[in-house]
Amino acid sequence: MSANLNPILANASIPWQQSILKGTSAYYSELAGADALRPAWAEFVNRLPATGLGEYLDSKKTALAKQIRDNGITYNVYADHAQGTSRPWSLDLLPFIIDKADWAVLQAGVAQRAQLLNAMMGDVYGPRELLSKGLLPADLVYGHSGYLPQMQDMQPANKVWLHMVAFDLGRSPDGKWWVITHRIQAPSGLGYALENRLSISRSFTRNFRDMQIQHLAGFYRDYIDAIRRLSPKGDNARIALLTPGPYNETYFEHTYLARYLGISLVEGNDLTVRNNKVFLKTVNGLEPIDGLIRRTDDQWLDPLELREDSQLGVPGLMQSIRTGGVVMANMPGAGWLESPAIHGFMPGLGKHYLNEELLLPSVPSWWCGESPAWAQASERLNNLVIKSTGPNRRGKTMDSIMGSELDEIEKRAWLSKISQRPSQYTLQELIPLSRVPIWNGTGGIEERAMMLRLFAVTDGQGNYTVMPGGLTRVAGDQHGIVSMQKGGTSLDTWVRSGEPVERTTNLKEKLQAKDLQALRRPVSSRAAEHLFWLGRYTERASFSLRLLMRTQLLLNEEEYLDHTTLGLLHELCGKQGISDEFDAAEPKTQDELEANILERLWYKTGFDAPPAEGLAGQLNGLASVAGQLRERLSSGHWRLLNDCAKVLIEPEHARFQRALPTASLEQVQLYLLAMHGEQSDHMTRDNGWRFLQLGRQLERLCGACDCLLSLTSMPGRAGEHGLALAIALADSTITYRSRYQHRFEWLPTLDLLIFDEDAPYAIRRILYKLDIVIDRLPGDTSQLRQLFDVVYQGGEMPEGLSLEGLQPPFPAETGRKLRAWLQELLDTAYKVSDLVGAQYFRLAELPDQVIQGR
Amino acid sequence: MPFSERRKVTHVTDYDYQQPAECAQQICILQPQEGESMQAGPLRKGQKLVSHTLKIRPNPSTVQSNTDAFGNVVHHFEMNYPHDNLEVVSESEVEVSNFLHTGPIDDLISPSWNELVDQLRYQAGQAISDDYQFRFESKHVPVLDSLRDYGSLDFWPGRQVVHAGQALMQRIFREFNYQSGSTTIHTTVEEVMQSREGVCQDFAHVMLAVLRSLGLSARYVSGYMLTEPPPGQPKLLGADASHAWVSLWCGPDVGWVDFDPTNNQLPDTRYVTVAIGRDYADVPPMRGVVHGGGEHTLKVAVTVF
Repeated sequence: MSANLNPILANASIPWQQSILKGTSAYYSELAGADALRPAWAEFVNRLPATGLGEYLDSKKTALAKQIRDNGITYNVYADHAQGTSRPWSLDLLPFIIDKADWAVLQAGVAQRAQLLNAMMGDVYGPRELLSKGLLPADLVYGHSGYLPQMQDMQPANKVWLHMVAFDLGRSPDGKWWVITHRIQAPSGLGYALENRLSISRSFTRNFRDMQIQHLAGFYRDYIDAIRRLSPKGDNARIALLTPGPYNETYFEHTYLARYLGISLVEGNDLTVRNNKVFLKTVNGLEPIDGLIRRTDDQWLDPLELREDSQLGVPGLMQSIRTGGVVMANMPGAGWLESPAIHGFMPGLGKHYLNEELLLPSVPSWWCGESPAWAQASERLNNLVIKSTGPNRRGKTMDSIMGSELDEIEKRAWLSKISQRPSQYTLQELIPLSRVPIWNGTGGIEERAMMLRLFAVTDGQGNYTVMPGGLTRVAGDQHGIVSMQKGGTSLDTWVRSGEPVERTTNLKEKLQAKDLQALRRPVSSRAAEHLFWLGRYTERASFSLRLLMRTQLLLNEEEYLDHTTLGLLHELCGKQGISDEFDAAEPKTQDELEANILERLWYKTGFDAPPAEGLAGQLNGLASVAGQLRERLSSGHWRLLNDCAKVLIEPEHARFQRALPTASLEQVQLYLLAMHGEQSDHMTRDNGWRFLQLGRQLERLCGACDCLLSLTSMPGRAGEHGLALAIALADSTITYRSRYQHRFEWLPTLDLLIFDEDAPYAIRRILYKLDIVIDRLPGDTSQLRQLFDVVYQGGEMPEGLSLEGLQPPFPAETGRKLRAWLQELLDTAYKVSDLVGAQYFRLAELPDQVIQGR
Repeated sequence: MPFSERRKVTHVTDYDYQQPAECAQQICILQPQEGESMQAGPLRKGQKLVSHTLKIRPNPSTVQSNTDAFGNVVHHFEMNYPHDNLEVVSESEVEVSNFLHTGPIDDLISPSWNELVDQLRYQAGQAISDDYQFRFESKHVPVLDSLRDYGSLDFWPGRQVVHAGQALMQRIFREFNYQSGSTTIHTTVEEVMQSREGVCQDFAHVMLAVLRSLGLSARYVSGYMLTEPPPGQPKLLGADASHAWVSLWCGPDVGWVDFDPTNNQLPDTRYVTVAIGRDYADVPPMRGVVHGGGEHTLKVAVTVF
């Protein structure tokens, strides 16, 4: 064994070592040839520390896993957030390295194929030569659900139908590369490839630099530049990334990519079509969008012309594309190019459209609808994979079946099934995939089957540029199939340039002063609405928490709480949804109230669990709002919001618990404190933040008014306990004690709750803050201003409602006046909330409905 | 010289929204097809469009029209301002000519249906005409073994395709009940096969599904049919409706032949074709997406003279 092999192989258990030594292998090893590491690997290993290599790589792997978790990189396996199934993206430490010579073959082949597929799109929705010349069966076009007659005669700018395409490739034992899958509609992987690169190049900084690995940034820049150039607005074109939303399995990637490319991330209902042009609904009104990079599949793009039940699309989008109102990347209607059956026809198509032989072959494929092909392939089912030619009428595609894994009976059953409807099936050669090394994290390497996803982007003039890198995916175990959904992992893909590499970052040149304003992202109505609710829920949950903690204190400290205080407590808990509503006619006993609060405290999981109420419901609200705002929140803030609700997931022993769980509440408190910190100090004060601020202050006002109204609704409630409770709810206990070092009294309490402009929860301070934030809201705020000024009065208190006026004893009339004022404030808070919704969020809120004549 | 007649059609669609609709995108396919695809065949009527007008109230913000993949004229329009009703009046005048074959239908010789099925199958290098595109499953038309078996009672090997098609049309007419309101646009062919009742769209979809399950190319036709008032009574305005039937590819010599399973007849000069498609989903007379608007009421009035 060559000396170069030793460092890695010495402490690894390697079942394939034998086959390397013998030089016979059932697969191609990317790591080593007959008796030595392949040159790239030898170089990679040589540049690592020679001693303690195992520990060195183990610690790198641990650090990598932590970094992935911290960055919130996820891949949603099942589309359900509540169940917590978005799991960390899987990335292995070792890169997959491609040498210069190998790369030349791949690059040329991929660029050629992208060009060919683009030509086929132009033909099928134009002259249809591929049919009239019999180059492709009608079944693979008209019979494939990915062919969209709606696209007929469309004229994309510069005849670019496919702006970015991806291919999955595999390498056979003889070292030859084959194209296995076309990924055309809305290929995923660009974001993950980038994230992988950032992580792994950081893990091996020196290797990355010294081995002359090509950079990726230029490719991403080319992508966005090409789309800009295809728009009549050129450099000034505004591009957005259209995502199906947070429930999509690759949503993380959408947020990541949008941020990296510096474009807005939008969902279907953020957009509207007016006069065949696409607009983003923002808090400043409608802003034009000139190009869309879309990650939504064809059928969901437009409920008017495609699936009418789609909530993910934009009504009128197809007509906008048709009339050139927007550059759509990629154009819809390319799904038929993804059929496995098409691979059998690619050589002929290459000759017809390009007059060239294919530089990279497709995996040998037989479409069973062609009798001779079916007759020939059915003989050797053992070596083949059975695939469905296209999705069925319900959009489902069956999983591939390995012929080699079928017994005789199953094989006969499949043969007969295929001969019933041969055109629905395609047989493909099973390529024993090459294997790459991965680091198992316990001091050794293992080899895994791999597939390589490569990306090509249009230059807008008819040619394609291939990304010098890609997404390498590997199988989850020694024998498994390659799929991220089935527990595989991914690798960073290094392409060696063989010469010094040019360092590019994503910004084309230094930004000019005039660019800065233009690059500010507009705030969509939907994002503003979610931020508004983020503010409200944060405040509301904090109020609930303070109430719960105070309740706990009272219930624990006082064995027999007086009826008045108990009533006040119950009324406030009822208003917050922490307990059942207070009913003066049927007051609960102290024990009953405690049991009632406990019963509602936990967030119950599992099938048909009731919706969470009170604090758990509010925290859940925070988590779901966070899910909608991912691209706008720092990863720390995002994690706080997501994780907080989990604290209140009902523990197994909850049934036996008699008292409110101090530890859990304290934990929630820390989370909420951190959220407040993030929201007041760490967020950019753009228009979005103003809505968050508005939500917080409105909710705060509601809490303060509710508390004071309850406190003054019955004589005797403003006693020692009641005042202490009110002070605690205004989070002012410490201030009170340090100022007055005294028992709780009416006047100083009132000062802190209403008059003191330095106290964050005092009503006058809240009104002052609202005044400022309303001033700074975008657009025409005159209606809001009018509404608010009725109660604000330039910051002046109504006559008679001064500290002096409220000093006991004061006439009953003053008490009534105070309550009327509080009630008016509360009503105004609700009205402001409604008006803000109507003015800024309504565009996003109104439902679209499909109507049909007859 | 084939016999021909003038038909006038008025199709009024009226939506009333409970709350104002903020904006709306609409598509309508109401202009009768013309051109080469509408020339008369041995057993198929022909038609020429004499005039067509489309009136939209209130005034749309944009209107365009284009020809779709099936040769239909599609109008797109948008209302970009709040509106609480929408009225679309389509008025067409069409010259309809009768079959080129003048004798009894049975006298016309057509190829056997299974020969046609073989011709429609792919052979490398052999041209595929547009007529082959209606051979596949579509949104409302499944391809199923059970439907093929249903059809095989009339489609025995070697039988002339026109005769077999006629027999299938007759059987659907006989075995299925016309029951207005018994189905919706979401009712599937499988469900109609069970309940054996429906309206013209359902019968057209059933017949298409059987024909395509047998491997033939058959398309959905939307249009109108002249109805006669009961004897002695005047014809009522707006009492007619959109109609739907089926067209079957019978080989290059005979071409497309229309069958109306709802009325058990081959559409003649009483029929006006508006559009053709794979099924209803390709050619709804009107379809729109309204932003807001609340509940709505729809009134449709069709008059054919």
